Amino acid sequence: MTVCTSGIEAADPDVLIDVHDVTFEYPAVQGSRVRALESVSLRIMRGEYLAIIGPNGSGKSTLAKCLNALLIPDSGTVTVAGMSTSNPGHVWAIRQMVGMVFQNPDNQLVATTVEEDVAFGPENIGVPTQEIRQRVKEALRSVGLEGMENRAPHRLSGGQKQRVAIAGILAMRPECIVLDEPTAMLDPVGRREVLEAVRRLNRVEGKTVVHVTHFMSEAAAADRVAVMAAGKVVMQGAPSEVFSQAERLQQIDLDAPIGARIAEELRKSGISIPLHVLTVDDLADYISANALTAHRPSANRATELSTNTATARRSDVYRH
Amino acid sequence: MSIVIEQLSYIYGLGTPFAAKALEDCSLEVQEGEFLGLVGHTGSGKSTLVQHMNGLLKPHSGRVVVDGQDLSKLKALRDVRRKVGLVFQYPEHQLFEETVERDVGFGPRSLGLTDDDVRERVRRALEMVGLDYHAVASRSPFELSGGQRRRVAIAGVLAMEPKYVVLDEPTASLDPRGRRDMLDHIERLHREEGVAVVLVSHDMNEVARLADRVIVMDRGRIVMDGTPADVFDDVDRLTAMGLDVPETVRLMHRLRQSGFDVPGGVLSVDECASLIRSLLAPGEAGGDAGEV
Repeated sequence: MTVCTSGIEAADPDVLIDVHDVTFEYPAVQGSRVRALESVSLRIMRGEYLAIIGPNGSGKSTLAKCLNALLIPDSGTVTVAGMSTSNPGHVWAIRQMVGMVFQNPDNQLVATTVEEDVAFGPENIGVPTQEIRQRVKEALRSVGLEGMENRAPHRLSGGQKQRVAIAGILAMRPECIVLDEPTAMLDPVGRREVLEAVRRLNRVEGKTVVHVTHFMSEAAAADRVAVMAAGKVVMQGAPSEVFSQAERLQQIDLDAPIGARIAEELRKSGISIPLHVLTVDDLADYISANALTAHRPSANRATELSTNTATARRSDVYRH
Repeated sequence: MSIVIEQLSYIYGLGTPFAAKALEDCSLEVQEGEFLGLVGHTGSGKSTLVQHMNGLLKPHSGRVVVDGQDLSKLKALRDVRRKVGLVFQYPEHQLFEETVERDVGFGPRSLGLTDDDVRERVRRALEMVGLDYHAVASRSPFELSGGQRRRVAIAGVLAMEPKYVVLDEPTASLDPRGRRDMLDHIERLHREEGVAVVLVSHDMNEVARLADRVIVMDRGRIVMDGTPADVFDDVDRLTAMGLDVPETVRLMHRLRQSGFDVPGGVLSVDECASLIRSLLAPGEAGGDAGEV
C-alpha cells in the first residue's frame, strides 16, 4: 500500500489531478456545518483507472465534485494540470478537461435526439458545426452507440442513456472522466454495457478514469482503489492490496468481492492463493492452472464427496 | 391461503396503436409464509406482474385470487390492499408528510384506529425496519439519509400489517451496508413475523441467499420456477435471457467448463471454498470438506 503524497513532486507531469489537504463542509440545519471531507490528499495520475469506494456519507461524491470545480474546497487545494480549482479564471478550462457523469441518466439528458444531446457541450463552447458533427460521431462510436444519432434519448434503455451521457462528456474531448456511481440505477445488462465502454475509454483511448462505485467487483477491475470513510481516504493501493485486507474493509462496512472472500477462506485453511485473485474469474483461472491434473476430471470419489457436502448443507445455506 | 395467479395476460395501451403485450399466460401461486425471488431482464414484466397482486392492475384475461377471493369479483379492494403490501421501486419518492410519524401512520389512520393504536403500529413498523421511534418519529422524512427514507417508506407499508409483502428492488442504489441492513430486515420480517415476501431483484447473489423459490420471467412469461439451486444451475439459459447468475454459481460453472467435475447447487461462499479445497488439496478433502 502506498501513502501517496510523499515522494512525488507537485510538478510531476504524470499527475493530472492533485488533491492536497482538502477540507470541505456542507451547511446543515440551524447554521451548523457537516464536515464531508477532512484533510484529503490524493493524486490522480494521467491515464490511470482509479476507483473510489466507501460507505454512504464517506465523502466520495463530495470528493468527485471537487475534481472539476463543481465544489471548491474550504481549505486545501485541488490542482488540475497545474490549474487550481479555487481560481475562478480556471474553472472553464478545468471542466473541459475533467468531465463528470452522474448516477441518474434521466437527469443528465437535455435534448430530444441523441445527436443534439451529445452536441450540447461543444455547441456551448462555440465549436464549429462541421467539427461538432465529427465529435458527436466519434463520441458515439467510442461508447458503442454508432448510428443512434436520431433516436430519442428518453426511449433508450438505462445503459444506453448512460452511454449517451458519457458520449456528451467525450464530445468535450476531456482528459479525464469522473463517474459518480454510473451503474447504480442500471440493470445487469446496462451495467455491463457502461463498464465495457468506460474500460475501453481508459485502455484504448487513454482517458484518465475516476470511478466512484458501491460495487466491489467494479472496483476490482481498476488500476488503483482509494477507500474513503468518514471524510478521509483511509486506504489506497492496487485492488489486490486493498481487497486482501478483509477485516479492515469490514470495519468500515465494506465487503471484498466474492472471489476475494472465497480466496480468503481458502487461505485460512492453509491453501495459498495469490493476493491478486479478486474476482471469481481470477479464481477460476487460478484453480484451472493449479489443480492437480490427476484431479481433472476428478475421480469419482471426490465428486461423490462434494455432492454429499452440497446436499447436506443446502438447507442451511440460505439462512446465513 | 395464498395469492393465486391464473393464466394472467395484460396489455399496455390496449386499443391504441401502441398496444404492447406485457404479460402472457402467467400462472403462479405465492404461498403464505414463503420467500419468493422474482427475477428477469428489464421489461420482462416483473413489475407489471406484481402490480396485479393487490389489484392495482386488472388482468385482461385470467384471474387473481387472494386468500380465496377473486379480485375481479370484489367491490372494494381495501382489504386486499391491506393484506398485500406493495413497495415500489424508489419508494422514498412517495414520502409526502411533514413528519415520519404522520407518513408511516397515514395508512393505519385511514383504518379508523385510535391514536394510540396508530402510534403503536408506527412504532412497530419503524422497529421492523431498524429505525428508533423516538429518534425519528418527529423528524421530517426529508432530513433523513436516502437509506433511512427508503426504510420509512417501507415502514408505511408494514404499518398496515400485511400478510404478503412485495418489494420491487428494495436495495437499488443503496451502498453495501444499506443493502445488507435492508435484506436483514426483510429476512427478519419473513422469519419472525411470518410474512410472505416476494422480492423483485436484479441481484442474483441476494436472491440465491434469501429465497426459498425463484421465478424467472422473460418477455412477459414465467419461464422458470424452482429452488435457487435448480434455477441458477441453468447458467446457459439464464445468460441467454441476459441475466446474471450468482457469482458463486459462475465460479462453479467456469470450473466445470475447464473440465472439473463440479456438482450443482453450490451457492454459498463456504460451500465454494470447501469444494475448491477438495480440488486443490485432494488428500485432505475427506476430513475437511464437511466441517467448514
